[in-house]
Amino acid sequence: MLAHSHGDSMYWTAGVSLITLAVVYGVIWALGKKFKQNIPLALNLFVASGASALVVGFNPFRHLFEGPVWYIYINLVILTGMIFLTCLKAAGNLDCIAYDILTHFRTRPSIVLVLVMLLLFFPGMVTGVGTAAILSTGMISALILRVCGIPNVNIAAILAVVTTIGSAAPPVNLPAIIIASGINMPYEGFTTILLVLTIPTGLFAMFWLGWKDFKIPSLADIEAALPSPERKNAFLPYVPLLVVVGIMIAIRAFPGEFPDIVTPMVFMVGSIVTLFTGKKYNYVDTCRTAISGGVLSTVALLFVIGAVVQVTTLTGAKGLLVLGAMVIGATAPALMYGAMAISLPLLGGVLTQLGTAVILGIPFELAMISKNQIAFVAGLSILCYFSQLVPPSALGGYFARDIAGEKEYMPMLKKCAVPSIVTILFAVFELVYADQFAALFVKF
Amino acid sequence: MPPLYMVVMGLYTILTAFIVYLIVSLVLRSRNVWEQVMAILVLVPFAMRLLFIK
Repeated sequence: MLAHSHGDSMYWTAGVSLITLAVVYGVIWALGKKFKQNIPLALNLFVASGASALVVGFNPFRHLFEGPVWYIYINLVILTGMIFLTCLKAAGNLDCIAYDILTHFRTRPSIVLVLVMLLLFFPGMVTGVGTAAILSTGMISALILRVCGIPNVNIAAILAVVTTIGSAAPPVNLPAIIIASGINMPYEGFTTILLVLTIPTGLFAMFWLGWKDFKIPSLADIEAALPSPERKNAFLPYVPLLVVVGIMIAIRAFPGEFPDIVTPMVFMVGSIVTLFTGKKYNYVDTCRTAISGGVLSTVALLFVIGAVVQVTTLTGAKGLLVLGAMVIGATAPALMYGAMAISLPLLGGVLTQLGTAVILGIPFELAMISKNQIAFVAGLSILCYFSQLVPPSALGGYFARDIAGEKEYMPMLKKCAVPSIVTILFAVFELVYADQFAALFVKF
Repeated sequence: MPPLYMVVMGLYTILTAFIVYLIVSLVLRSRNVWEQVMAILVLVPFAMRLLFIK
């Protein structure tokens, strides 16, 4: 095993390691395409990061399994959040909420659009994963929007963009957590600034894509599309949500008096409450369904990102990227902001929003460390999230297209263009004036 | 009554064991070999949490 090299040779070590990571990643990806094998992104990154350490003489074994341990808590939040949402759906509570929105507010388009936006925001807010929102409340939101006469392509675009923005909303924002842990900063104080960045842009996206085509549906149309769901009484479907929100507020409102059982346990309590508020269902089977498929891939990817951070720190590859970003930032700051706006979403198309947060998010943040870090990381996280719409991975985009029943991806992407560009420009504006935003919306 | 942090850690251990059980049962049912290999990446950190942190 080699010792860390110093002097000029450290650039070679870090450079070779970084190139190996990119090449091995590309080769595995190409082999998967050639032999029509759907190799998970997490596995690809794991092997590539191991190879990048081996090639420069480091034994990566310990680091590949030590890095992921830092991400156990956030993965528990994602898994339990998804369990809570799936139980809410299995108990029929989500159907009741959708039915209530349509029947009570069908003559008020602005209220329906705001409530649908909140429905699409909620799962992303508690899990930080856009696909969780599309797969849970996305189906019901699509139904509501279809009853209101909004074309399928617009519904797909609404699901894609609004869940993307919603997953950046607090309390859980995964790229922000990744970047913060990458620079040894606690994930605290993000709530207000993230709300400022996501609520106005989410409302803009919702109204831009949904307002023009909205037609007031008749009660007969609603009954035909969404038969009146069975319920014990009018209030019960809302109880699990109220319990979860209530415990979260109580923990913060009465510190030291109300027991802080921490977020994953709050979601588990909420999921158990759903057993008594709606239809009967098999709890263990529903939990199993909740963590299958896309959610398991996201959790695996998040663990692997822990390994990538640890290995790239070990080999110096992360430092090299930071140095590169600092050089660009020092010579031409405008170029730096342009590079952030373009490279974070585009590279995320290959690496996903979590991968781009690690590979580029951390270096960009370190390069601009003199700005308020909370405000800056919040802005960067918004840019990272937009990679959910960029092919080839386009995790959020493809799910949204399928749920809306669209066949082509490009028409949907064109519809997403205006709200996406507006949100990205707003995020860049916030990055440029991070200190001014921080003075208003960050308490640290 | 044990201190709150011990209760929370105990609950976390139970939750982690439940999650590990769900993932193992999911993987044993899956026919996709890549999904099974990927599950190892998830199981190892959770197993480490279960075995080493009390």
